[in-house]
Amino acid sequence: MAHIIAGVDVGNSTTEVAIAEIFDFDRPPRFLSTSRVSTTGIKGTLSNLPGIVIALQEAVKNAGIELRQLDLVLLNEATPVIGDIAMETITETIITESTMIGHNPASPGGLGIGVGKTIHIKDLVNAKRNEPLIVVIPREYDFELAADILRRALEAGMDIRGGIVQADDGVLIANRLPKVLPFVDEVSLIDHVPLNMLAAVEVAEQGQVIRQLSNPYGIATLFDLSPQETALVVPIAKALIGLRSAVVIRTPAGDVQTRRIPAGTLKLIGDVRTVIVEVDQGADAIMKALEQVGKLQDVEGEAGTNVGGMVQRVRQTMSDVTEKPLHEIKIRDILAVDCLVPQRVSGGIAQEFAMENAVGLAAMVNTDHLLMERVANALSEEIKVPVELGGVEANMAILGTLTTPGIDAPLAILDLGAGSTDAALMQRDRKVTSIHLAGAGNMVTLLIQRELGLPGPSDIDLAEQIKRYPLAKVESLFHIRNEDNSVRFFKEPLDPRLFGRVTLITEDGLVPLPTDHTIERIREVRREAKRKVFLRNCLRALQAVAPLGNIRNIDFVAIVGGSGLDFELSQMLMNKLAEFGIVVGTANIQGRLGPINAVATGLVLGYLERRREKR
Amino acid sequence: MMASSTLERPAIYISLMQATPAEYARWVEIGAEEEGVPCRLVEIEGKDLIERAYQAATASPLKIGVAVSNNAVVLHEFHMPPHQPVLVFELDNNPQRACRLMGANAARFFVRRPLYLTPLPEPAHPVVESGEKSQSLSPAELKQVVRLVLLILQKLRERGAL
Repeated sequence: MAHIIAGVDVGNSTTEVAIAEIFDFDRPPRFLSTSRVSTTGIKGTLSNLPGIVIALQEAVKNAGIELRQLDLVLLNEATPVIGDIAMETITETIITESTMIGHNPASPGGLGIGVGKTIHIKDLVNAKRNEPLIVVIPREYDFELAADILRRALEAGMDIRGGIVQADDGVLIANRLPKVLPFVDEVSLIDHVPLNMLAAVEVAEQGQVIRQLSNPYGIATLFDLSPQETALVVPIAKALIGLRSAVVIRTPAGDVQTRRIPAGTLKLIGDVRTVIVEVDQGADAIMKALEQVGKLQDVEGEAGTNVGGMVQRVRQTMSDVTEKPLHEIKIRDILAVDCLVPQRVSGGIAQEFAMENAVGLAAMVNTDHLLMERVANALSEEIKVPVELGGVEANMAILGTLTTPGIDAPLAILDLGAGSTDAALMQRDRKVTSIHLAGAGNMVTLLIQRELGLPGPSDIDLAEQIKRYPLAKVESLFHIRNEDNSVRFFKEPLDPRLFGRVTLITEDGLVPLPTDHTIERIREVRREAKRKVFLRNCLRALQAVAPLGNIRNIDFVAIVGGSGLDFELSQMLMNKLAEFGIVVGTANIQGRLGPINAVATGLVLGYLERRREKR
Repeated sequence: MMASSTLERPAIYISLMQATPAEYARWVEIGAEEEGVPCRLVEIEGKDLIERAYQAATASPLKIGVAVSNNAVVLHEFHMPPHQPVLVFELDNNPQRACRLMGANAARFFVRRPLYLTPLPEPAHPVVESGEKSQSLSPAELKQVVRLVLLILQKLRERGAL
């Protein structure tokens, strides 16, 4: 008599189902349908139930049967690990007095560099003749009026060296003056500009960036600073790098400082030894230390520091999820990643950003099997179908992967998920070895979000999209230029909203990105994030499962999991692993599903195998 | 008229409808000037505003044209279907702003920068951000949310809560 069973794989990001009909235990099952929906809640908790039910309903619908016709549901014995990610900047720039304006208005006016005392345009008539001046022009002064006043002042012999403009009028004013002067415009908080202070205005030529004000010694030359004072302007210069226009104003009390928040130390407790590593030495130092400690037993962050808070937060989240007391949460793997994130300079006049160093940390803790049993029991009650836990996830993934045409053991698989990077190695007549590492797709998304400075929690979706789709620039209403520089033409004109924008090429068409970053920058950040997380973790994972710990002893690797669908990741991996003489390919589960559904499919096959052994 | 001389400086062409204040065209020019692209007012025939804008675009060496009337300002480009302009702004109660922004748009069209899509003052940035949040669900996600809600309702009904 035929049985209908369903394999259910609850992952960090998606819940996948495979439904199959079993005739007898010696014949391969006939797969009827599959489904894939977003996981509800954190993996391994009861809040997964709604997602599982939806996934099952979708799969039975696809198979043309009813939920109650299922004879058995097999749930993955979820990887007993949960990951969390956190990121902390370890430097910060604070302006205690308004001393600089650094921003990239679309069109600053004029050209060059001017140094003088700031003066309101209304006070220009009373100004001294031979004193160099920088004129501050609020929005009330229309560009023609402002240009008229400035022109007459210049004709009267005033020494005007440049201007700071509130409206978007810099070019218009500069064009109407008898001599070429630099004007920085679109300074919204113009009343915060201190008057009667020495200021320097610099506007670079189109296509160039400012040189003098982004150089500490340049600022020192303009303002005649002592070496001690020069040290204080370094953060200003740093914040102005790469801009086309800037103002630096010297106020007596003002200084901008880079305050180094104590990043703290990480204590890595291993079974071989314990190592303490300074977080501000960067990700490489942390990862090197991790290699020395043997098998990681737990991690502690120095109390009262950023990293202390970070580790504590991870522990707290895990404790909430697993309902285990805080001290029982042990961190079993970490992945540290360096990045540069734009941070708003506190106290800036025009919402300046400075690039600050940050460390991203993914951590992973072991959970216990009780959790998944609870989910299984609740599910069984809910759908009135028997539910069993069906075997270790890594083994199931291997079984599922073996449905790929042309694949055979010995074989390693890389499961690139959202929450963890897993590897398993299958050799003939040996036990499957497997490992789970912290850091995967979610970490990549976080890196993209932070490095591109996409503000707000909702922009994590945007970062997720950037991770998934290739980029293109809309160059005219009839053509786009892809990130590889190829050009695609359209018959119908595109939406003017897309014009001039960097867009994502999605299944639903072109989606414009609401950022000013160039296509090159976004691409670089995206690929770098994937490299930092996935390439590093894949090497770590393969090394851990490789025979004799030597990655060269692996010949074949199959990529499975949601990130296997990534449009560039598998190529990146192939290139990297080719260095070690490894052949890499993306799995094609059941010969048609691509890299997804490996575990769900494996659960069904594993069940058959177990039944065969029982006889 | 047509740009017959090849020595002429390239420019965006502006056409002014009859009985439209000359300053409207000047505002368009100013908008383009701030973006650094030259503009010129030209005499163009055409029965309506859109046709004029298209003719201006056809005649312009930069293949971009703007036409202004008392009610609206239109940006057109040579490659577009004649009846389908790139953008139209109603002048409403702030013709100066609408004309300047459309002038800026004409220039941005040439330098390939994103366009201003409305003559309305842009809301402060935080407003924009919060406005987008509510729409960030993809159709697939939305479908899933709807299904979740239905499921919850069904459960509640089963338990007699509804």
